[in-house]
Amino acid sequence: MSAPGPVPRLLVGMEVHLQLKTATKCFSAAPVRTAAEPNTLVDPVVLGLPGALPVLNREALRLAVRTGLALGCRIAPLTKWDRKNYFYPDLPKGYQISQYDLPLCSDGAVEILDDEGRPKRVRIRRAHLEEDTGKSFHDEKGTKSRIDFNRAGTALLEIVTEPDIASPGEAERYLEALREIVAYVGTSDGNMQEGNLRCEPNVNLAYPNGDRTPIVEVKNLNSVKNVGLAIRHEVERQHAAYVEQGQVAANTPRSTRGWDDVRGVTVHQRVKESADDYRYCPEPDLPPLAIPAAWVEAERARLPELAQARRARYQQRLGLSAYDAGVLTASRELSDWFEAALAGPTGPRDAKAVANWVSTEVLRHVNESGKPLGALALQPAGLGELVDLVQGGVLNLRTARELFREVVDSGASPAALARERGLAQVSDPAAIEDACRAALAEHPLAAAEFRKGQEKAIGRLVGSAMKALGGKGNPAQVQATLRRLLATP
Amino acid sequence: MSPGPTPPTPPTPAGTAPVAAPTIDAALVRRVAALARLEVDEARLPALTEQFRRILDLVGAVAAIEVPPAAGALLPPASLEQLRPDEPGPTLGRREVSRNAPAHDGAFLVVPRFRGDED
Amino acid sequence: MAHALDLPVAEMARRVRDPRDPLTARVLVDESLRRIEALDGRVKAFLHVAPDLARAQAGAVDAAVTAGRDPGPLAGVPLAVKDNLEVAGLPLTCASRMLAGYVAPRDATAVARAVAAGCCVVGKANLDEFAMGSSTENSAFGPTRNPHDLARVPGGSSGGSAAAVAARMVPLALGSDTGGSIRQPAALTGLVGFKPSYGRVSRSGLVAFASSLDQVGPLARSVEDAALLFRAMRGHDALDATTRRDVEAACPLPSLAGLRVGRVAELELGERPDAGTAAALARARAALAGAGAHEVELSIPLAGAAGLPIYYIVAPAEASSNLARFDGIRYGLRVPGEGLEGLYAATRGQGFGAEVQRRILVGTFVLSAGYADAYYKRAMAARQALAAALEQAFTQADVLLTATTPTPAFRLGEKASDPLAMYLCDALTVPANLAGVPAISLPAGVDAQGLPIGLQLWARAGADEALLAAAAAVERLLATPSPLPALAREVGA
Repeated sequence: MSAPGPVPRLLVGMEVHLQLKTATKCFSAAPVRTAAEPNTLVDPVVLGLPGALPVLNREALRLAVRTGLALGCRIAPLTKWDRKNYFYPDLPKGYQISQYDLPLCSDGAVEILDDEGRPKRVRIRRAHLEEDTGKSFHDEKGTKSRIDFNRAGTALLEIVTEPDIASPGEAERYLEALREIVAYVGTSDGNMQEGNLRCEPNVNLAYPNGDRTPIVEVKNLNSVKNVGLAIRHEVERQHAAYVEQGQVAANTPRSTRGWDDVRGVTVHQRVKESADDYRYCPEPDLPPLAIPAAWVEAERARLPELAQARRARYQQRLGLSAYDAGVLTASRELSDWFEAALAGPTGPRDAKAVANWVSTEVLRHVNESGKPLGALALQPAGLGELVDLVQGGVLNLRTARELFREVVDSGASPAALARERGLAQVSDPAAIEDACRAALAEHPLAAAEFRKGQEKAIGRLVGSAMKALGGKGNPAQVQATLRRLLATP
Repeated sequence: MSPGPTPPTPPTPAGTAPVAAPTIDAALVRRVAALARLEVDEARLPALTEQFRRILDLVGAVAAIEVPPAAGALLPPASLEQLRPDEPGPTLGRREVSRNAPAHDGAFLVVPRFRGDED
Repeated sequence: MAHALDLPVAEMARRVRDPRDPLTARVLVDESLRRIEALDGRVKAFLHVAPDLARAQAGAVDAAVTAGRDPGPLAGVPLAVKDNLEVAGLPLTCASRMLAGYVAPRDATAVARAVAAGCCVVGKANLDEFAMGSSTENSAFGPTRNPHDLARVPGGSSGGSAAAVAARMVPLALGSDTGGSIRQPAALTGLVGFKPSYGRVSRSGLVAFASSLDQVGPLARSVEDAALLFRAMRGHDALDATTRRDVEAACPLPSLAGLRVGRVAELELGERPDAGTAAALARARAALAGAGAHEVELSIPLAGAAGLPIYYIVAPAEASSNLARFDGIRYGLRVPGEGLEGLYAATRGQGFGAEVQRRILVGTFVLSAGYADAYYKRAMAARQALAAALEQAFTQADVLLTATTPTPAFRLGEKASDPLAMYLCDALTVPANLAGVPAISLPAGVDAQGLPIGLQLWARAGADEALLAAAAAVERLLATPSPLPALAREVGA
């Protein structure tokens, strides 16, 4: 029917609600926990009882500022709170305490890769502190909904980007980057499945002729993958509506659609007629807040180096591969552990050697034992010691691996243990020559095969010599000695 | 009529035309009542509209007030030290929550089924 | 011989604290309960009487005295609490159908501090629904009557608190003042009513009407009594982020000689002033001049005709938001309707009375898209300008002296059908709330009909003690103590 439409440009702006990791709620001392019986993490403020007043949690503010700084935002020297008025059963007071015209954080950016692998910046317009709502559960059949206010009042940072995201892949990478940043600065668990990171993309298309499709806000997204799928679906749907019905922003209002995970489509959501009139007004129960620049700078100084910067440094300064740099920065904990193991008593250790140990032995043990890194008895310094023993030729790799398996759970010092057990490798030329001669005597056939040119046959001879040395012979020295003896008939 | 202060009719300062008063009719009152989630009896609507109009006549005088810019904030800003430390306090018991609740099932508060737009 | 309940509060508490004196908290509480029983059928000051709680608190005070512990400066003094303040375990209705049956889970900070100072709560006092009104006729549970003339209103919204003290059922009561709700009923019932500076007394546990204007304060028979209750309650509270942190020392009684008393042109009585009120004001000015005070002529244009419009935008705007929590979901009344939206509309339409609904409508309107700039934002800007103008005025005057109300108590029903006539009652009291300054109403005698007249003193924000000291000096100068209604004589007061 319709002619193939012109190629539009995708514009996505992302609104993310991030739960901050505080012990108590944003405006009251009721505890924050993930698992609790319904309606037990509530107090008069959370339930909006008559007479209850909000008091701001200092830690919520600090975590919001810390996150804002990690996103490169400017922190407002003076901020204030506003009421967003609307009726909803899971909103206890009939208004949400939020920030309207003086957000805490503004003008930041997150760096991601575009679809061609080139770096690009997604600008953060603003990030403000607000309180979460309760949760509603709707009876499948029947006439009732049930409400749990445990989540109500939890501190949220709402992070709003400019419409800089230009593809579903970029949207996914933005969310991954955001999640990584908040995990590094430790301000949120950032888990979409558990709902402590919730995102609502605002999607529309811009055509070369200046036409724009109406903005659609997509809700109900509980995984990064679904965000990508929903945006892909919106691109097709909006393009079709533009081409077939001529739907543009000028003739169609913006709307809200929910992601239907089962059918893989977005579904129009009923919009209440008064939903848009939030009647923002200043929150009279909370005075404005002055944030001294010196305090902001002190918080900035306490920020860790973020994953992106670490990956670049690992490649450029430590000479690691992009793959290793990625593995080692998968979590801040692992990256910190690696860097602690890297730091030797007299200077940095060999980065590749430490990286190998961490990305193979350490991670394997973590995966197999199911224990988190922090629960290992082996400390980074202990691994460093082990690496030093190998690098210094004191232990051979096989002994070192055996020793690792022992100290990883005991936390004992590898150097002390090696000394105590006499595990140090044998490098005494006389002892090695004796063992090699014994091996040649024991395996004349292998010696003959080698001399005939069968290179592989030396393996048996090495094994035999090593056995005679109790497995502690310096492997390179054993090889060299055997070759010398075999060369002289 | 009480012999109180004369009703507020401040003179319009030169150069400031009063803001055009909105049309106050039953439709407007009905719309505002819907926004405020107030059921209004149609029989009461004419009287309510008239009262609403008279109140807005009274408060409409603010349009004529000449306000000096930057008059300052009402509350002095708080400092960070004055914020609440992140230490858990007491919670309401189940019994206290359900005692005042119009409908509950012992754990959740119960309301008529509504479409969950957010969850 | 009057009962000990009629002594000055300091004297009453001193005797209770004296282990050798036979007067106990229990005696005071029992006498208070006896008078309530005898009079309140006619006055209807109380929505709920709490004999068990009062006697338990009295028992604790008396036990402390016996054990040699200090039960506090208000030991054993019976206290009425306006029913928009939480008292743990007692009903909290705000005189609204919306909260019928609601039980408060905790004490308001003001209540907890008064009780910690030795007060015994005898009951919850009537008010205009959610403190919106000037006559206590807007109570869903029926009006309170003025003890000086049962056909007249006691003022409002703290009318129950005022009537309880005026009828000598209790020596002290707590009220709340958003636009005059302590001072106006105090004036109409011949009492001292004090609205402290904004932030001086915690609002935690006070059901919010307009958060930036509300302030808890005392109603009493004398400035000294009011000051004692105020001092027991004031100070920073971790549960209210708007409470002030500064501490003001008690001020010595000032010499009236040289006191600069401001007379504000825009806060004078109108062209046809009430004769009794005008005469009381003139008497006070003459007495002050005679005592050597300097009258300072001031003009604060924004405090006059602009006060009411600003107030009747800001207060309803905040009220519309504050009262959104009464939605039938978590507590209070629930009226079923069609689905959730039907439930909201029916609950709120039937739970709130007419005046509350009017204010919610006005408040919703002035905050709504397209109108917020013309109404709410302008009013907020004007309010800040008014506060600045008042601050400026206090560089020229130590206190301002005005009437508290344009007229003495009016008859029940006289203004009930005309919301605007009722709003005009607040013209002389709202500017203090808008600017956050302290103001106190003092008895200034009675008019030809025997109706009490009140005069109002104002001071700069934060100068509560200075204001109380000046008020005590003026009280002594005027020599028109709180008039005793005939009704109270029946019970021996």
